[in-house]
Amino acid sequence: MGTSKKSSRQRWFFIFILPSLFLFTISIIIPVIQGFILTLTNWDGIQKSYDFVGFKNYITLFQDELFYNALINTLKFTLGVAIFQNVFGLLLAVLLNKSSRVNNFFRTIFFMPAVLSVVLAGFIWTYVYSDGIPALYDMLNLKFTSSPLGNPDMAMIALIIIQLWLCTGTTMVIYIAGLQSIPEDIYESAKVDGANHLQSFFKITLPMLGPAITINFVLVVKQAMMVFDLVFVTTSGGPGHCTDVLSTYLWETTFTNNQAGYGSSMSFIFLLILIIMAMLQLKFFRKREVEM
Amino acid sequence: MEGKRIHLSKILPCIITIILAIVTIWPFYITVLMAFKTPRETFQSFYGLPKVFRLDNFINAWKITNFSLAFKNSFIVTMVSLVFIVLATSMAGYAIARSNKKFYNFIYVLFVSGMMVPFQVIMIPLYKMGRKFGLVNNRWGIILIYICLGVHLAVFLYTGFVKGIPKELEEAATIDGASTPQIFFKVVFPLLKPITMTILVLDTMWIWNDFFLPLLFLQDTKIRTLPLTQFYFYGKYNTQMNLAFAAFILAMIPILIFYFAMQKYIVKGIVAGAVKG
Repeated sequence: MGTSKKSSRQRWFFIFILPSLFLFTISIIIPVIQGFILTLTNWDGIQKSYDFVGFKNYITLFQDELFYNALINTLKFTLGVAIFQNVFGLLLAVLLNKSSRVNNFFRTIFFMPAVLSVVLAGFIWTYVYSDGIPALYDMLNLKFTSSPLGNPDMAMIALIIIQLWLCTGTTMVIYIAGLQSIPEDIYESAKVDGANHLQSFFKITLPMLGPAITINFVLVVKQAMMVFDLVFVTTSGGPGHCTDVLSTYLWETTFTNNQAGYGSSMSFIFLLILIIMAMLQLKFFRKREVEM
Repeated sequence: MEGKRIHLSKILPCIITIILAIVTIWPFYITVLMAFKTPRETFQSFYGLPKVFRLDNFINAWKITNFSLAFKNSFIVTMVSLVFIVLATSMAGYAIARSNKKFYNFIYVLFVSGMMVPFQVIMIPLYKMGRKFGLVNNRWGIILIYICLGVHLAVFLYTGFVKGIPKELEEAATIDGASTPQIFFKVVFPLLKPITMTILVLDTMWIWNDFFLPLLFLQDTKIRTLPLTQFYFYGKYNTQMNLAFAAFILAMIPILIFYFAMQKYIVKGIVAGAVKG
């Protein structure tokens, strides 16, 4: 009796997992395998026939200057976003940590952009840059030349600012959760020992926030490395490939230049880069967490 | 001296907060301002308030973007996807958490590693498969893909949550002769409500705002979702900015209402999703 009940339970478990396993298989496992096979072909994405070319796509990729350009731009974007989103996120979290009606109001404001679609945010900011800032400069009697999004030296910074506007609220929320897990009496005893605000921030808050910092960096880096919508709707990689990131260059290669095989090989290198970055970060931060 | 210092340390955080808040609000302010003004008023004074709050821009934007249709499309896609994601993954999470067989652990690891795969890697094969099975330009096609792509995070969150629920209740129900599906749907599923809420809000924001997948799969104007409608509308009307901004506001309203109503759950969801992901 007992065993038959147990085996019936196991049977049900198997039935329970089947739908998810099926969905996962058709959407991830099979496409990843097919995608890898495509990297070995010269498929243009349209015609039915294609030839196998071995690892030629990968060799071409390592000689493709626009690929390196996209990679460097992605890293620039990621670095800027990772640093400032964490600095501002942590700053806001510290400022608004205490739960009060005023603080909750401000938290609501800072998180608000995070719920918008990136498409809308991109369009609104395009206009802010092209007309909003010039109008502000006008009021202050300053000269303003043109939208930073069209300026090769400024476009990347302009994009980073939009991303910060969009996502800092999320980082803030995670830091607030981290701050609230630090017991209040540690600060009390530090105060008794004569520590000032800055000292207790660097000696207590930062070390105790270790896990939250790790999480935020890993999340922000992943998000920034994969940025697509924002660049696509604001600059589409321009001016002159200045803001081309990996995902937009990949899109261009695949759908504009009809090089699906080549695009696939780029996507696998992209995956490899993401995995390496995630592992490096985890190693770096976990080590520091233990030391502290 | 001492009095002044305390004063400054109290005032400074307030000033920083307010400045950052103004910068954050600024684009919203321009959006609202533009939507109510005529091109002439904008030309005369960019930051000035309109003399009368006209709704003309909104009415025109509603008509041109066919807002009710785009809203309906987004609503159907989001809702149907959510129902199936929750149904499929809660069962899977339960099975993984309660079975001690190695096979389930292996599947769990498989799902977790799936979270690393960027969409670009599977994009081309998925599109190819979609075209083969008639899923392109088909509402049910994109819903199926959302369900598929929503599986791994949800299974992951459900598994973690079920592991934290004591087994006693289920054991008592077993003794009473309940079958496994009965136990799951009557006893366990109601207990999963907090994590179900988390998954619902996270996936709502993801699917509602998603742009990439509709861009690939929904070209037919009749089934376009809100972000895609906005994208094509802006491409056509970016010379009539007052109209465009009224359309932006229309598109923002549903998700902002959702945000103000569900803020607590959204914040909880972000933290839960982050800590585990």
